This record gives sequence, C-alpha cells and structure tokens, in this order.
Amino acid sequence: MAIAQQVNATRMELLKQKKRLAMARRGHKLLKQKRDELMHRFLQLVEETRGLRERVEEKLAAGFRSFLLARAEMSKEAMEESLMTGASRNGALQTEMEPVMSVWVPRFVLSDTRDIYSYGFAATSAELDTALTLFKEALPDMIKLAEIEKSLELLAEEIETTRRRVNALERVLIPQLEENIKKISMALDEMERSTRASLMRIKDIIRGEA
Amino acid sequence: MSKIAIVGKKDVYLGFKALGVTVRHAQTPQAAEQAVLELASQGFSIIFIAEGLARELGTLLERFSKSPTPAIVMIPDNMGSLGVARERIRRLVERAVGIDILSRGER
Repeated sequence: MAIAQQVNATRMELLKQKKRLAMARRGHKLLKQKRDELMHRFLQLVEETRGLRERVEEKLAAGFRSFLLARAEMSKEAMEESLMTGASRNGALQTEMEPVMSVWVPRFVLSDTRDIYSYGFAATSAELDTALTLFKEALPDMIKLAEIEKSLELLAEEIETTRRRVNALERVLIPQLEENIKKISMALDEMERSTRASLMRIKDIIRGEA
Repeated sequence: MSKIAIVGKKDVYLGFKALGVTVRHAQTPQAAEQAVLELASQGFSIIFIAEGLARELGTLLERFSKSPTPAIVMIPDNMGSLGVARERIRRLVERAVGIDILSRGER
C-alpha cells in the first residue's frame, strides 16, 4: 500500500510528479527487460551445468578407481615422488573477466596442456597412467564447471536485486506517484471551482449594487 | 603460482598434483575452512573442495559467492557424488526464479 505523502498542491509540484512517474515507468520497463534476459541466460547456464557435472562426476569416479588401484600397487614414496614433478607447472590457468548483462563473470582459460607423464615408467604402475589420463580429461570440464557455477551464483544475485527493484517500482513508487498526481489535480480543481464560485458571488453583489 | 587448488583428502586427490594443481590436505570441515581461506588470500581463482567437507561449510561458501573469484566448486571424492553440489544449484535457482523448477525434472 502506498504511504500517503504530504505534497504541495501546486502546478509546479504536479508537473514534477508527472515527470517522476514517466521516469519510473521507463525504469520499470527497462528493469523488467533486464530481469527477463538475465533469467534467460541463467536458465541456459543451469541446463548446461547439469550435463557437465554428470560428465565430471563420471570421469572422476573412474579416475579415482584407477588411482586407488595404482596406490595399492606402488609404494607411497614412489607415488609422491612421481607426482611431485607436476608442481613446477606454473601459470597454466588464465582468468579473464567478461560482462554478462552488466554482471562481471570470470572466464577461465587453461592454456597449458603439456605432457603429464613426466615420471619414470619403471617405478610406476600402468594404472597410474590411466588415472592421470582420466584426471587430465576431467580437468577442462571441471574448470568449465567452476566458471559456470560461479556465473550462476553471480547471476542469481543480480536477478534477485533486479527483481526487488522491479517490484519496488511496481508496487510502491508508481502507485504512490499516481496517488500524488490524483491528489494534486483534485486539489487544483477544487481551488479553481472555489475561485469561480467566489467570483460569481462578487459579480452578483456588484450587479446588485449597480 | 598455479591457480587451481583442491581441498580434500590427500590420498584421493593426489593424482591432480601431476596436472599442476595444488592439493591441500584436509580431513575435517575446520581444516578445510582454514585451507580455503588461506588459498583464497593467496589468489587462487578456482578452489575445488570435496563435497563431504563442503556440506558443513555453507556460510563460508556464501561469503565467496558475491565476488567473481575464487570460484569454489564441490567435487565428489572416491565415495561418489553426495548430491550436495546439485542441491546448491537447486537453491540458487530457487533464489533467482522464486520457485523450485529443477526438482520436478530430476525426480
């Protein structure tokens, strides 16, 4: 419900309120369009993330199975040692920012696809190769998943605030302005009628005297 | 410095080390929280976290949800998916759309 506001019943004020109403309506229309488009993108991403997550989970599950087998076959020290080499790979991931409907979302680009089997083959089991291949295949999907889920989070936030703004305009500001305009024009009309009535009365008195 | 990290049981995720991913060992949610905070302050842009640990860290994940990085993503461990990540997406959709439109399709 619009809260009644004290407004001056003047023509100036009426013009001002009318201008504000036009502005509010335009803003409302734009925000509504923005909300709809955001929602559209959001739902597209939701659809995308579902298939992606399934793929990632499948690959990881297979990878973990092979990896556990490899662990069983190898000594802990040999394992640690053969995997240590990966730690030297630097700057493989690039993070860029991209605007989606005024929301800045990250884009992750994995640039480094060097050989991962940088260990000796003598001390490692074949299962380790399988596991690492599976992990390597899963990684781009995982990164994509990170990107999409982060975008979803940020978009959800934006959609929520946009929806609040649309509702605030629709349910509070616009009705309030309409109410004000009605009040002012009624007051102005009333003033005009009263002026006219007193003028007629004065005219009568003047005529009676003449 | 590599920019991807995994927080979880070392035994499970050790393989990712060969791919240049930093692996931080954490077995309890408290340890995981500590690890995530440290990694975030070190400028990691993607932090994967084991679902089982992330389940207890709702408020922590919430804190990072408004900034573009780091992206914190739950991944399953060797016990398989727990559905925590799906639940998170479902909640996001509910917040954005106002109603739950996903659970119908997933049943």
